[in-house]
Amino acid sequence: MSRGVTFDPRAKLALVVSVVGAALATVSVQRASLLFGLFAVFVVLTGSLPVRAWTRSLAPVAYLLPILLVLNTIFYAGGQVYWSVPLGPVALSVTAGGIQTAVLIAIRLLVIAGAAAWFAGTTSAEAFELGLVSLRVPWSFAFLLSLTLRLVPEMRRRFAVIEDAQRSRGLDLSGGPISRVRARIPMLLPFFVAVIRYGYELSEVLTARGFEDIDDRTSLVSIGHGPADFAVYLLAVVVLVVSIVA
Amino acid sequence: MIRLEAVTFAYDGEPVYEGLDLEIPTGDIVAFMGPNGSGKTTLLKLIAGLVEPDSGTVTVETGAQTDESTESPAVGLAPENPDDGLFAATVREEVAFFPRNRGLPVDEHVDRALERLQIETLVDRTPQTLSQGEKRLVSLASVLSGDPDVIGLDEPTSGLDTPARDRLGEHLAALDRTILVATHDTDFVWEHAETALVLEAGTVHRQGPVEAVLGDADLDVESLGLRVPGPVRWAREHDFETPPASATEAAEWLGGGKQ
Repeated sequence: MSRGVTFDPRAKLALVVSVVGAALATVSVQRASLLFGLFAVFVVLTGSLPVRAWTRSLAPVAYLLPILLVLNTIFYAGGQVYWSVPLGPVALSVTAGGIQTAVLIAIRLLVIAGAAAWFAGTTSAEAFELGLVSLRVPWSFAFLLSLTLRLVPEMRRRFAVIEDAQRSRGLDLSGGPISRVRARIPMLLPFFVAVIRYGYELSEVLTARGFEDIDDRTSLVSIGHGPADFAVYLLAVVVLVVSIVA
Repeated sequence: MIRLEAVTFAYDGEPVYEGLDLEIPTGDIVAFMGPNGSGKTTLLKLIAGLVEPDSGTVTVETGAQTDESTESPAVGLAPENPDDGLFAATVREEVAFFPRNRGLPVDEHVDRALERLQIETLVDRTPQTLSQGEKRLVSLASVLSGDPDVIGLDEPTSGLDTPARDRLGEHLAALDRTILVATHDTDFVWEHAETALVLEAGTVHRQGPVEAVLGDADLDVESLGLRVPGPVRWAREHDFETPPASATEAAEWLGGGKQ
């Protein structure tokens, strides 16, 4: 799964937690942008995930960003008013503070999604599970968390299959963003059915294999820290400290 | 004629086809066979325009109509799992999806598709509540209703019991379309397809009439992840040169009608 520099899942988890913490702590658009830029440089330099795969995994966020920008601009108010329209007892306004807050939230989302996508793209479900167990997380809980990691690529694959099924019946996915979103409505039901069925089938398979009676487990994969991992821990601490102090 | 010229295609850098040249006759039921990963489904998707070749061309010419775009498909594809396509509240709405997208008279095409597959009684049912065989037929009707020149079916017999499988074969035989079937089910191919195309590692291993391909003693069908069709197996076990056309004929042969 990983190419370039490989890291221990615990070190990666520490970095992701610290980057997410820093993104939430900062109240400055410039600092949030800098954080995203630095993390992008880290992804490129380590080469643990192809940049194209990383940016592609961020594509779904692009659908959310315009919605977030519009809604947060309208519903957060503060500072200079650029435009306002009264709606009964309230007014919808575009203000300097609203725009700044909307952009900040959008960049925070990008940082969090970027860090999560990097982690998911470079970590196998087994390594993630083992990392959590070594951090004294109960195995059953670690296993459930690792299942969510497995679910992402599976659901992406399912969605592609469903999209193909509708496109082969003449579904047109060209046009603007709104028409593309509307065109995808016929995919939602098969997708949710597939997700629910996947959950049921997985539950049955686990039960049939004695999931409830699990005690201590061994694993086929092993994890361990190397020099690069200590550099990542150091980076995580630096990011966290700078975000708190600065 | 469906023509692929020097087609190269890869999934995330993993090559599936490298310079594939292929001509598929139209008007027949054509079976794509081969082991897992040999490129059967990808071939269907290339012909349906769902994926674009990295290089080379795919041309679908059927009668008076030539279609090289995906915007107005002449190729309709039914997925391996019918649940992947079924979304509407009723079978009628499901089957209306394709003609509506193509701008065709909806009611006329829906009624005709349901009638041809003899599933008019399902018209007001919810697709998700149907049996697997019924879902398969609704999925096929939802492609047929769009009046495509070519119908692609991915593993159509998967999950079907024998009667449902036989009915599906009969329905397909009654359709005057080019039907492309990606399948491992050699018995189904033997009974219902005219042309066989055996793929292996992204190349065409064999192509020709079904009897010539699957009945060829020199072709090691099992090494390609396939089973020798029942009639061929029976003929070989009983030292007959050609497989019988039916169980009745086999009984007659055993009775001394053929040496």
